[in-house]
Amino acid sequence: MAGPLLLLGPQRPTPNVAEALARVGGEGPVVTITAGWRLDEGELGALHGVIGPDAVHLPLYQWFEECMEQMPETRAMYKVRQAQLIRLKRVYRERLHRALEAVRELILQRDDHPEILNPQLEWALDDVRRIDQQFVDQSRAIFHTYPEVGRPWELDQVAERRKQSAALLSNARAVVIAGGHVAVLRNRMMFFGVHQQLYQAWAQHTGVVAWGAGSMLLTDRIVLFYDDPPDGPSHPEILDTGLALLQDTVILPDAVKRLRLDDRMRVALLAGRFKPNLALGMENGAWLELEDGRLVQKGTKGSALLLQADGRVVPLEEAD
Amino acid sequence: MKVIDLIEAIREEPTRAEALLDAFVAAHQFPLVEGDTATFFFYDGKPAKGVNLMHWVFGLETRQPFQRILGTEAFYLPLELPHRARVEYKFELLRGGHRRWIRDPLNDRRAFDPFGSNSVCPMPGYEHPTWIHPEPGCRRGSVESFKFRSEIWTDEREVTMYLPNEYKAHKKYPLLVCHDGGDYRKFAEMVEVLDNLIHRREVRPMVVAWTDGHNRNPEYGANPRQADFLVNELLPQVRERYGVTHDPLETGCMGASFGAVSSLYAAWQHPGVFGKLLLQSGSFVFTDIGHHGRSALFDPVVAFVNQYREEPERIGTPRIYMSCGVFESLIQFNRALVPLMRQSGLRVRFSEAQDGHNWIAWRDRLREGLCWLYPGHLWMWYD
Repeated sequence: MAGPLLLLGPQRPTPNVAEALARVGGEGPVVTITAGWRLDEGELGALHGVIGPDAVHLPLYQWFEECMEQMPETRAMYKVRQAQLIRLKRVYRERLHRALEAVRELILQRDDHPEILNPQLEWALDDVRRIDQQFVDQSRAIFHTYPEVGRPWELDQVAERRKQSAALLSNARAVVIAGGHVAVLRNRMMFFGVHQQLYQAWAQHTGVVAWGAGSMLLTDRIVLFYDDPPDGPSHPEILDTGLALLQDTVILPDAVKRLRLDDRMRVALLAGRFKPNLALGMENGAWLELEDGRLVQKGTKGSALLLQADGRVVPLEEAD
Repeated sequence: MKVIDLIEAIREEPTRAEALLDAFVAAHQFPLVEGDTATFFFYDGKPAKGVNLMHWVFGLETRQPFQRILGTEAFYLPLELPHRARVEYKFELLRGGHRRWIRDPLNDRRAFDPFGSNSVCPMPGYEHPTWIHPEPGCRRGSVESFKFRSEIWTDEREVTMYLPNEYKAHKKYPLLVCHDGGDYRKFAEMVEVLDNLIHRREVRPMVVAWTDGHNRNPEYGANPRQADFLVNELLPQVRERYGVTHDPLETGCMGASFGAVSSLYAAWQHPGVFGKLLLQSGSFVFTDIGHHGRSALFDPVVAFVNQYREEPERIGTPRIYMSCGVFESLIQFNRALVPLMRQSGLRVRFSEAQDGHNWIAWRDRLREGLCWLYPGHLWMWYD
């Protein structure tokens, strides 16, 4: 039976990770993963202060930098692959933009002739979902095109560190994955194969506690979002697949700040696009626990928000 | 009530004109804005010979006479202005044989600059930025100064530094050198803007070195000594004292008006030093034939811009953000440079504002410019 899985809201201003960890229980160290903080990965004072003396850090960002220094060929190949992914992302955004504009237009018109426009709207959303899926599929294909960097943990320089991470995770009572840069966090975990180790540890009762980018990573699909970027309007987009400890859920940290939740059209578009997945906004104080396949709110009321396809936003505990 | 209704009411009841005017003034915010028309209004109850609107909108007459409401000391002027426009203005009051420039006494919206302040008329669609005010929870950076003796200018120069909240001396932060630093801090709220944008992760944590000229226009007007000062004195001083990058791609230079000229000129004189340029309302006057028709201060500027147009590729490949107000005479020169820059292989973002040559216009474009040049990890960052 898998260990506890706890998704928290952002830890500012009031952290609840210590409280959540107490709920996890068990014995052994608490492994922290903060690769999403990038250069600040090692600045653990505040986090380890909250967790206590059991905290042990897994320095994936630092390890990655060291490996790249030691493996110039891999680094070069890595860059080539990243360039390919950037090209793909550019095309994906162009297609997505057009498809989402079509959906938006249909939502605006649908009250006039719902009998005609509702099916059209659903098909238009299917188009968007198809574009999302094709992007994910092609990303995977690009990864497989570069086997040298596709399974880096099989390389000697990486394998040694991978052993260290395996030893740490296998003894841990819990793994804490902090927020930060979600792509960096994901890439560093994947690079060292820590995603597999984490899954195994979780399957063998290790608790997993995550927030922000860490919680997004635990789902099967990572969605990037921000409604008011400085560079003009933007649409939520898929980053990539996640670790899939939690299925059928899109996690949206800090949704109140990052999304225009009072804009029913935007909410409807976001929730409708990812249906049947739950689109969950996570605010400070949120604490969701996976129980019998369902997410149960154990934190502050109103801090986990369900975005609905009708454009409404309701506290998770009040949702049907 | 519209002005036309007021005029009609006064015509019908001239004995109540004063009371009607007082009530009208008390009931409205001025200028009156309806659609694309702003109606400027003056009434202080005292005799006046006339009132003119003084503004700096290139393309309109600088001095626009008000009409008097017959039989009263009240004056008005309807003026069509573009959507999203923001216009700074004063009134010229003709009274007692004198002409006096005053701010609009019925409008408390002000814009400040080194010369004082103007009244402001924002049209519908103008968005007052939210990111210029200190935001709750925002971790503030620090501001500190140092002085050094400049061999180039043979005097002592002060540099004021912005250090982001997370600043650590052992790290290497992106660096931006900024002309007219004191004015950018005072009139464009640049400290608060940096604090907020970094806090929001819209721009990367970065260090800014603000410099000020001692004899501004001659120093900033395509002066090789200023270019040498920036590159050979200021940059080494900053790099020696602070944790900033030596990477040209992460080193930028910015300024407004002549400060923009100085920035572009420094990049031209010293290719490969500045990988980012933020140029606001650059005084990039050039000529195809004949004299430029401006003051002698522009002589070296025009000579430089003409030279730049001949050889744009010499500057290397900095990433450039340019902005200019459409109410400025400089708009045509800025517009003309953009395709030239792009053809020479530069990545240029050009933004036109419905505004003039002023500090608020430059403040309002800081977010776009800084985010374009030093984009943060906002899209990818989830706390």
